[in-house]
Amino acid sequence: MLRQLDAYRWEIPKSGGMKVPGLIYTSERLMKTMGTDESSKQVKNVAHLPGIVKYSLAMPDVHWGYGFPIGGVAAFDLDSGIISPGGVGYDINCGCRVMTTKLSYEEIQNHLPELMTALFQNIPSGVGSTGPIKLSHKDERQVLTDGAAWAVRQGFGTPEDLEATEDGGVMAGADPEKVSDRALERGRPQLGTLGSGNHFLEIEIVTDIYDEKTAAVFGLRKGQVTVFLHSGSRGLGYQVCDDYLARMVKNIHKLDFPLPDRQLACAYIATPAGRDYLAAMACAANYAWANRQLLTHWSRETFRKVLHKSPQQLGMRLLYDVCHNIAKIEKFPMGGTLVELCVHRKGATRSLPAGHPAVPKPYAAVGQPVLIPGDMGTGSYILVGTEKAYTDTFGSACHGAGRVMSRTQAVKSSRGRAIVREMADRGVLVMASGKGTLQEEIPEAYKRVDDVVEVVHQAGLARKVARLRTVVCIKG
Amino acid sequence: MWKPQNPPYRVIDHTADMGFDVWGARRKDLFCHAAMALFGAITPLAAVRERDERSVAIEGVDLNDLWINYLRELLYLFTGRGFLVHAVDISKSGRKHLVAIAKGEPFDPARHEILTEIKAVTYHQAVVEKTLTGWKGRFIVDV
Repeated sequence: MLRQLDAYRWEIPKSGGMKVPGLIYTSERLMKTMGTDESSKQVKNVAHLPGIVKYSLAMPDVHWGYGFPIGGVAAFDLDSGIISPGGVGYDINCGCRVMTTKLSYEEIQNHLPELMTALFQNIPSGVGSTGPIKLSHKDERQVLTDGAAWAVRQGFGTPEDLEATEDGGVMAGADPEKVSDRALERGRPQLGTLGSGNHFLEIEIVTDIYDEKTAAVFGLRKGQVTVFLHSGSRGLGYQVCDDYLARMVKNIHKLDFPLPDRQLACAYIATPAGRDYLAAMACAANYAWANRQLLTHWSRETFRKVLHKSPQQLGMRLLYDVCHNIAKIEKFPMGGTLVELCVHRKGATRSLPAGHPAVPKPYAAVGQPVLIPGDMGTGSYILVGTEKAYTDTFGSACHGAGRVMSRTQAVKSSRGRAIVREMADRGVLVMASGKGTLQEEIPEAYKRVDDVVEVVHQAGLARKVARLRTVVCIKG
Repeated sequence: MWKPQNPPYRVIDHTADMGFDVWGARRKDLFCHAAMALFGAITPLAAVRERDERSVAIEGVDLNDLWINYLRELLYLFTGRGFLVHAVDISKSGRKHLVAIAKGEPFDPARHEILTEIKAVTYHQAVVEKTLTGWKGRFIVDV
């Protein structure tokens, strides 16, 4: 079924009802872990959807998901194409952000346990956690329309934070009327919480610089202390996805094409259902940005209090914030002109080159920061967007490492092991709210982020700038 | 009647999430057992008392859809309303609609331990079918 095109690309040739071929970015090594789940079948299924353009894509961290694989990218024509909640993911605008600081590792080395405890106390996390923000119905609607800007207005950040966020931290077209009461109910008490599972707040140290020029523009240097945050839209995003999947499944029989998988339930973009979903999705995206902005603020406060340093001395600056579960209306070159498309990125990060209008001005000369988190024992990467991603993958790259082991398998594998101790031996202090979280999140449960990023780098979808090592990890 | 050490459901493995195979003598039983599978994964059911009730009315385009909508509704009782379900009584059940009473109590962090955060019931591999010995069903949840 798979036809190798070059060292990092495998094609699934068009067959049967496929409208376009599938294209998987991977390596020989990573292919071995791919064979065990159905992700290539899912890439093939997505190729059946109307209005899909060029390829049904998969990034090197691809693994099985609902309908669309996680690590899947698919772009659709606005007039003839569909929008699918499964192509965005349940956790709408799950994403991450990185803050750089003026601190070096030596300065905080002796304060790590203290920082960890303080962060754990100040950042609400875990199952069913509620945040300290009391939102009225009116407030919540404002969060959904204004995103991170709402948080900044309330005093939880600065205008510079917004400039360093994808989309300025607010997606246009958000309409709270398209968000169900149920989603609003789930979201209201959860604003300002980290979440659970693979969400985290980490202190990471820059260990390697691969691109000096870009690192200088991003403000990165070896030995520097950074804060890496990974979180999404909590129960609100889940409920929005749920509600719209239910609505679209109800109308499956009205579709003029066969659906290979019910989880691929979708609607034509140019219909009320399609438009309503986009408007509700934008609300959930904005909720997630407001959430990450709040968590950013509390991280800054925590560092300030524990280290007794002023904001100037800390210099905790937002480098960038990216989403990796989203659908966006963006323009890409197709046959000589710029065409507006609806790009689904589910477990995939936008990657834009130098000079692209959506890249913040300070980074215009080098390109968009691409933030790739790894598992809790390994650390993360910062890359920069490229022209190749823009022309070949609708400006997309991977999002992280991707699971290879189920939670049950991971827990089994953890039996009898003291995970906290093991992590400490590796130089990583971890703290989690949930009893089973650490067992489920052991490093072996994930692909090696180094392998995933290497493919992305070699295939030219994003260029390595820096490698970071985790020293403190807070999980829900 | 089943015994606690032989529950009428089984957790199945999945890379990113969690699934359940459920069975029951009648279709009504299947639906009741599915509720137990779902909530049994959320919290130890033995600690959930039947102090209160919530009534649910579900519709679906077909039986598989009804199955998932039913489970989604029950999950929302917890995620949106903070209500834990110990057992369900199905009063009316067809292939496209059902009416049921969910018996349980409000979540109390002092007494109820949350084992897993189940965030959504998906349509993936959702199936309900008659077998030679009764009924069986499967559903996958996002955790």
